[in-house]
Amino acid sequence: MKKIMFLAFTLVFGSYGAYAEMSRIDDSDLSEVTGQSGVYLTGEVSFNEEGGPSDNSYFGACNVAEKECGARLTFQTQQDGGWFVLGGIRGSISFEGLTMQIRNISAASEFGGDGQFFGRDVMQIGLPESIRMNDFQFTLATGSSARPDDAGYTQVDFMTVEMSGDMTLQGNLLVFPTP
Amino acid sequence: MNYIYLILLLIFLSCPLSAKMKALEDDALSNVSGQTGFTMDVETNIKVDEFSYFDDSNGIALQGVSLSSAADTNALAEFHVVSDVLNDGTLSFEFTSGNVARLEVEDIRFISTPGEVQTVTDPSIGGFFFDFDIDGTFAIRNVGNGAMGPNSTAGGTFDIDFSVIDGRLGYRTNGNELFFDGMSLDVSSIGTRIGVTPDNQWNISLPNFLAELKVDAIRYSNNPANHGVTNDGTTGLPLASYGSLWANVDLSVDMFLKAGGADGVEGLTVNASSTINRLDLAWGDDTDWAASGYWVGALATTGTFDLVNMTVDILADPDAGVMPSKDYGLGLALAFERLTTNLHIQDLVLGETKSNLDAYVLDGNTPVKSVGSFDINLSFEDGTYDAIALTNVVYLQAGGNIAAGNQGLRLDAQLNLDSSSNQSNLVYTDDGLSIMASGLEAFVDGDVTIDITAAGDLNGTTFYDGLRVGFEDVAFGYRIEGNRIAESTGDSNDLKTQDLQAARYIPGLGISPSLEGVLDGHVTLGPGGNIGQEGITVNSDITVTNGSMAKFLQTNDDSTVSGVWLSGLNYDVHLRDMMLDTTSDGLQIYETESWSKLDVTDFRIGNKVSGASFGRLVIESYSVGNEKTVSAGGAGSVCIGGVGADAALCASDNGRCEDRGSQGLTIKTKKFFKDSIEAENKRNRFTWETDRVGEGTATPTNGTGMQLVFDNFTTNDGDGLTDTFGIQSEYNIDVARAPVIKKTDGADSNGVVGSKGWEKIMRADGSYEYKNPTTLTVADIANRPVGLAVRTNAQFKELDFGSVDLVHPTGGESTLLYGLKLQNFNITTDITATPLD
Amino acid sequence: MSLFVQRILKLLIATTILPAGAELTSLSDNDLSEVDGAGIGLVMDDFVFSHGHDVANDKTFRITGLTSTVGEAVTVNVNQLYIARSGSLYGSDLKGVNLGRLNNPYEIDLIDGDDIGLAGEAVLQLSAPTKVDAALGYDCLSKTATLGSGECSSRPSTLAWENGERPDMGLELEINVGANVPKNLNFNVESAVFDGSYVRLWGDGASSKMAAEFRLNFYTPQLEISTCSQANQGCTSSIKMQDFELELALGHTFQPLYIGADNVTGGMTIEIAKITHQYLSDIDLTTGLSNGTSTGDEAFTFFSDYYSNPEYRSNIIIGDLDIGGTSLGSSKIEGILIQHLDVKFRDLSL
Repeated sequence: MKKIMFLAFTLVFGSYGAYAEMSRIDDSDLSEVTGQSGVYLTGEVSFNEEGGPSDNSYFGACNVAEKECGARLTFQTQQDGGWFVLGGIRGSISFEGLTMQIRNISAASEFGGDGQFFGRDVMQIGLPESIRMNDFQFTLATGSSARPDDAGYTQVDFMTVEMSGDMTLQGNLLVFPTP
Repeated sequence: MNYIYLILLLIFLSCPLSAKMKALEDDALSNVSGQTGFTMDVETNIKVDEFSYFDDSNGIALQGVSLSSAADTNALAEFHVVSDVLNDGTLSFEFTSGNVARLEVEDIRFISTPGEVQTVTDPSIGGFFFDFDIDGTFAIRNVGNGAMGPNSTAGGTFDIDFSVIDGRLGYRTNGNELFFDGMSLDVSSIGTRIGVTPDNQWNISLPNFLAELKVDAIRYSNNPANHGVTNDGTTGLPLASYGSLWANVDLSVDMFLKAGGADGVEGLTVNASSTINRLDLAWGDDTDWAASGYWVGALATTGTFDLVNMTVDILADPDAGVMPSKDYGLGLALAFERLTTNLHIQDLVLGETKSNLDAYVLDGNTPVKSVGSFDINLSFEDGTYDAIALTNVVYLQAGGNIAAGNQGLRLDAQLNLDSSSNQSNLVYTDDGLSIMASGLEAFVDGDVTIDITAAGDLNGTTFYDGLRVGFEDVAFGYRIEGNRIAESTGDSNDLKTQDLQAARYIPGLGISPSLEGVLDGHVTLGPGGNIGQEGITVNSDITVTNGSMAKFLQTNDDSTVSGVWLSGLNYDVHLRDMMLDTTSDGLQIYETESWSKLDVTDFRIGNKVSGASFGRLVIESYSVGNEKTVSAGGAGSVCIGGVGADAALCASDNGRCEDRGSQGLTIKTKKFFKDSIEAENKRNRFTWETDRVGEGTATPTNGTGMQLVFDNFTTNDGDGLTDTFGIQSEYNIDVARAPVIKKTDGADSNGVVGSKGWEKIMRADGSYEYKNPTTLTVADIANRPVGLAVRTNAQFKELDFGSVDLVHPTGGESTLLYGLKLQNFNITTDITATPLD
Repeated sequence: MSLFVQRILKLLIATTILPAGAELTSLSDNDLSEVDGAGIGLVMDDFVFSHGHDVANDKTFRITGLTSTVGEAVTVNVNQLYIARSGSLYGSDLKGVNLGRLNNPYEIDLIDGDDIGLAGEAVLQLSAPTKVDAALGYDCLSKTATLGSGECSSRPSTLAWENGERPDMGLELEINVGANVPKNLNFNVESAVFDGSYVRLWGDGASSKMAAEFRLNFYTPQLEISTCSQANQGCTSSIKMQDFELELALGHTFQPLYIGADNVTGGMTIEIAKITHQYLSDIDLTTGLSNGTSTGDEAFTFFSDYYSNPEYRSNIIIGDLDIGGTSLGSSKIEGILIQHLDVKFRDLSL
């Protein structure tokens, strides 16, 4: 359970990342960046690449046309109401060079002068230069009940998004407590 | 082992025997000339009320010491001794038991006056017994009176060789006992030297010590009528067993004892050093010591052990006068200046048969299911942990846990692991690639109690069957500075020059880079498992208070430590009947019921104490029937960024194929999250609270802020009715290579130059360079940087959250989401972590 | 997606648009900056995102699952979706931009409802950087704004601070309806600012629904909608809206927005309950004034504030509307007050 919550937390905070150094930062600024000991992460996250564990009238194997093999998240905002659906989640995201480190930002030269007044630690998750999506897709919809294999279930789909190939994603996500 | 030998030696050399001796007539003797010396048949039943040792008016007393027959303590122990002088002048004694004898100590107490009358209820460490049927020789070599050996010892050289069969070694407290049953012990110590060195130290040197211990069953009894028997006296059935034990050792040890302890005039100071040439240690479950039944073990361990200036005294409790509630009276104080150990475990094996283990020990080549190798380097020394000064001393006190009864062992211990120059660290090597948990600092300060207990409530405390290890206000902490990872050179010290990498919490294994707090509660290890007859059943209630755990830890260039901390941590965990067995898959764990609450006062970033806080996190967990399997072997061959069972299929799907070898660790779990039982405080709930009164200060008030609550999450099979699938996870942990791509042009933090997009390639000497990916050769790809590779796969049919609520401190709870379900998930993450340059 | 947009626009127009008096200033979010929640701050540093549909380079990015009114399958290829530094030339020159500032980040907070008129409720707030005092902020529209010129804290990209906190964003689509010729539809925004936007979510126990208060502020010196081809983004068949300001207010703490789904048809529902007050009956319906009781006075004060307070109103202001090179001048829709909204989506095939 802790693992899932930690996974959820890290997904919420953006995933693992990289500290991208831009060439315009000169050496004196480098020396102010503490915590070069961080961690460089390479790997992938995949959802239901070979389908999921459920097998009923709605969920099934990926090679069966009428069945859904992606993951599904659904929530209900009103008592006895219908459900919002983020479904058909499938595919993988692979990356090289997500980095994670704790960075103290206190220098005047950082963030257009903001660094000087900040003076605190942030969790810096550096995004890699490129992320490869491999047949990643998901569907947004709303449905009449919680489980699609319920009797009388109807679903109104909004759209299905499909992404594949190298995506340009760079920069650093800084996560810190407020105020 | 050394101590049993010493006891035997003392018995045969110094204690009077009530042997039956007849004077031999001269004419009878006249027939004896130049033949086998003399033969002695000894039948004995000795009872000694008290045997005590005093140090500066404080004494440790072995009470109710007896030597008799094991089957009937009123009957006699029988021995047959043959003495001879050999041609080279060696005086040899051959001894054989006629029956199984028992040497027993009923109580060990601390006293101020020899022979003072004890009441039965006075605190005692408990009783020990040793059953043996011995067969061996003891030879005193004829080496003259000069100095012997490297220590110039003046004394004697002895060759000792004996076997014990049908043995038992047991510990009894309050009518319950835990003992080795069906024990056989083979010991050989050729060239043992005992004597005095020129600087007046008593030297015991064992340059060639070989021993093998086999224990058929480790048994437990809670029937006071049972006293070291295999079958229960009431039911006639064999007593429950934890399994079998096997140890095989080849070492040399040099020990020096001198007068004078830590305190007062009297006492003892011990210095010892040992080289372990080989040690194999294994635990078997439902085994026939051949092809049936499986074992877990640490094989082919080598190493050294060095103890400097350990003083032995009998002293008052250090809390006397300072904290009377923690004063448990006199104890045997063992304090040492330094204890260093460097061990290399060649293979940690999970789930092998004894036949395979034996074949491996013989030839070193037999493939076994091995997690990999471990190096354990520890240096216990005076030092500080977070500016608290610590030393190393253990007081062995009598009484154990007070509620369990008057017998038991209490260890009032303060220990400190020093790592000012990375002397203490742990290394794991997987298929020739190593990761070091570097700069390990740790300490312990508090009372640990050891009792053998029986299930039931006694004096307001609930006890369980088994060996109970209790913790009373034990302050503890450990921390590493980070990880160092590289290809193994065979010497773990070479890793110390590698780049330091931030360490993070490893899921599956559940180990954090740092954990501190105050530990209370107990872990009780009972006999019997879930599969077969043998195994270990664990019942535990542990609380960690005022703690802090790092989920991510990095040591900065200026030696400060930054991390993601669960600070102000209060953790409460309960395990009921968690059963361990060993099968061909490795270690199998079945948790009958477990629940816990982790309440983190501040989830901080940066400094452990003063870092900014995200607020409070509370994670409550309740599950029934969880299963866990820990196996040797990691992820094996994986395809990153694509799907494909082999290298060709993987590459055709734009993936990268990696072979992580045959070693590594795999943990498979199956968890079932159950509906809450409010009355018993068992629930599955995640709470984030912030904007509390005092938020951002050192003392925020929990319960006064706004809360976001994910309440009552449970697992089911997708129908809301049955739950047979649960959440099934598999974690594969390996040390493996991964591509590292340079992100910018120019020099990195180590001054190594490369262009953006170039790959980091390691050189044989441990340094590295950046190379253009188009010019990489096969050899280069085999020299990619080494990192910690963790692959996790989690699957579930449905994870159902009862509701997501927002809670106001005065207004109460409102529902934000009336339902939240995650369905049909099969998530795999495969992340390899290498140092950030 | 076009179906959505059509429906929303129709229903917005169906609600009452009250004429504003003088020109309305942008929504003041003073109440937001006084609300001191605690939570998680998020800042993107040197951020670039770009992905697009490019079969030749093995890239896929498309939206499917839509059907036209006559049942043809609609596939929308996203030629490019980008977020980058201002001056990206329709996403062709991508450099890093910052989103949020360290002292004024994007936030996920839990705030005390007592501070915002929801006594006894904890509120989950997702917010963009807040607006600040005019002396401390920058003009929300100008690409060359300097300190003290306006209320937005997000700074434009300048020589002194190259990244800026105002991204260029673009969504370039190619719409394929059945077998028809694909049509391009591009939305390109320069130097976008979202300061002062937020979503607040809480549980409305009385109605057993999740309630929301939604504010979207969107300022850009140029919003361009065009049908140019992917290769020629700067073509002339475009509508350029200069100095575009959108301040959208959906739902308030006393008149929340309810978003849900229907448990029979499965369609989404968006509802803003009819504005009411517990003492509505104490208002004299002929004069529109209080009936003289203290409760009536309270009701009157409430409605008076409701109808006159600019914070509850939405505005769309376009500084200059340029179609295919011809300027049509400025236009404004100001002071939109939603008194009641009830939208139900359903599948056309049902």
